[in-house]
Amino acid sequence: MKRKASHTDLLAASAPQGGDNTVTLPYTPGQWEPIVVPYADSIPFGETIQLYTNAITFTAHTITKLSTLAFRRFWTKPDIKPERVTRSDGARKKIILDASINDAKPPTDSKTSTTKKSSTDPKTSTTNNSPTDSKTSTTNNLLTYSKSLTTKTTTAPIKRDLLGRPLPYEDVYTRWWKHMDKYKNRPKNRHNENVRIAETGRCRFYYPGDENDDAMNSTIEDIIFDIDTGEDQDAEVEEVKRTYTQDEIDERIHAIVFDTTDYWPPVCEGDELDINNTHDDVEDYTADFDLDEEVQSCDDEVIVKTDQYDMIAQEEQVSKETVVKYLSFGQNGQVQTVKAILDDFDDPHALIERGQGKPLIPELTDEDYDILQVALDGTDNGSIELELVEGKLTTHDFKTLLPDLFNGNKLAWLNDNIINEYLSLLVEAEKARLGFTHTRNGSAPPVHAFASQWYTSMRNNPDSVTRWATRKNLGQGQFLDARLILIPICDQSHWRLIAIKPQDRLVEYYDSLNGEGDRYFLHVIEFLKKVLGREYSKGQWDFRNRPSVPQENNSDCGVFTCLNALCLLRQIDVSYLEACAEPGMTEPRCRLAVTLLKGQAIEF
Amino acid sequence: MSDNGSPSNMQKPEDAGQSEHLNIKVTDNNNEVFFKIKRTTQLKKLMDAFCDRQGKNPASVRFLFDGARVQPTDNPESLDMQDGDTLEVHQEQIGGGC
Repeated sequence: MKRKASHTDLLAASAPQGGDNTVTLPYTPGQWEPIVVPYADSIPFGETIQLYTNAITFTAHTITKLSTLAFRRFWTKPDIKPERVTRSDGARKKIILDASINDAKPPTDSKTSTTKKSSTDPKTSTTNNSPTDSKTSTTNNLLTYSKSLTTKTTTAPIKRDLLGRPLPYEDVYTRWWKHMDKYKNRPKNRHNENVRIAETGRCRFYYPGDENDDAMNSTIEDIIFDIDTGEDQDAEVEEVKRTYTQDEIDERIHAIVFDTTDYWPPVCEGDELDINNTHDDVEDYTADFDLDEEVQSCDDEVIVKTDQYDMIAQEEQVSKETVVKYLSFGQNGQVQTVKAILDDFDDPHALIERGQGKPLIPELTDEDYDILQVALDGTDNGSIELELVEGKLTTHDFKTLLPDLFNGNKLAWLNDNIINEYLSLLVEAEKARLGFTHTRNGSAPPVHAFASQWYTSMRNNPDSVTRWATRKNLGQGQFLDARLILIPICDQSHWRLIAIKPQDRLVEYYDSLNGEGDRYFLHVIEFLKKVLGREYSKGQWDFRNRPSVPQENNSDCGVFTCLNALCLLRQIDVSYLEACAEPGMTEPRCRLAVTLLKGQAIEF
Repeated sequence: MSDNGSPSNMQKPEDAGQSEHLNIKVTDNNNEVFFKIKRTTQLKKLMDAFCDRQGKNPASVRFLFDGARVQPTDNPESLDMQDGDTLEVHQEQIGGGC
């Protein structure tokens, strides 16, 4: 409650007047794989659950999420045995949550049975794999989905931004769906195409030109001409311009370019998804589990065993009945659903409070909000260019971190100053915790973060980077004494993280879009050769692409990079990030801002 | 007693042992500009001069020396710079994940 009050205070300071367009969305975006949510609502714990999804993000992420879900629920690593995790685009994936226990007899109320019916629908359509059928089922799915949208409208909470305003793009999105209705009988036209691509979360197409181009300035022509569908594109442009007002078009472009991934409706069967999506993350994941690589059918099956009630009872020193009752049924005798647990998921601290150490992102205190407020007041909500952190960070930098508050570009892309400064504060905090102080020609630091210009310099002038290392007592053999060397990299408008663990002779790559780090590994090898000289031995070093909790829009990779670094510094699994992952990452961004303004990290 | 904040052209000659002036190269990998400055001259002067000469907005560039961002109030002495050392100039990087 306290914290919310502070939110309101901030709101009072900078919210625009008269924003009363409260449009309710059918589901809370970003909670989970949205495709799963409609079904998840109806799934009682205590029986075997089958979730069908054709969400294209059914990847390591989904499984991690399920796993974390079960972990939070049962305080132990669930026994996950994905028997087959294979990928074929557009195919349905089946997830089986095996939560069967003897004691639990979930009541079969009407709600359960109706929704069960709906969850069998996809199953039947799964069996139809002929291409002709898939087209019709595309529209059917759309219809089913839009129906489920309307029926659920009342239950959905309004998503608000940091300032407590209803997010404006929800309105845009609702309109977007209305537009979709108009076109849903034309499955191959470009409007579907746009949605389809937007749905994949790879909005690359809508960033015309290079990284320096301003996506804000996209025009409807940019969008329509970006994809050649063989139709008359001029006519298409004309039609759009005739049908919608300029404002509507602008809103829609904004929705496509910036916010689509926040609202991620299911991709329909028959959709071809080939937008630079290599699915390497899935392969990595399957490799970890040593899975049968054969593609047997379109169905992918994951079994998550959550039969852990005995253990919880023992740990909590309560009777098993209590556990069963508590876990299987809600307070009013209602079935505790996966959805309910998902709601629980939204509280990032719940898991951690159960003896898992400090939260990844400590909640902002009143004092923290005051610090933020002072910065906001001082810069008149971002309109005055000031040095907010002396010699280091200015209003301009904070605009990239908290664009809503500092009136920055809606893209909300973090810049190098924010990333570098935050990482160095984290590193300083960790070094202080370990009692390390830097002395000239002294011992190597246990942890270090190179500036993100490392990559640029490695490409242009590798020798200079060797000096960077020497300067930090990381030259030659000393390098191998360090536990963790972090290198944030900004390449192609995307932040990623290299983590070198010299003691383990291991180099890891973390990418919230789960791309591959091979091209960066090449530079790391060159760097290692230069720094280690003759001590570098090729066979000793291992290079790994690690799965990262994925970002849920096209803005947050910088925040994910920072938080992955935080997990690594704290030596906790990067899947911890799951607990605070959401589109926009508002809370983590605020925490970053406060840490930067304070000049001191308390994230340890 | 530190003269860290005082105007650069009024420094007392302190380090008798070392030569008073240093040659510092400033490069953004396209252009190289050489500056001859006193050991105690604030690097702000040099940074401003580089931006001025290259027509760059000071807000969009970062100066790095040996991997650490240079503060305008730093001077060659505080950074332990040697004759012939290089300041790297980098552009702002932004990323979001497209």
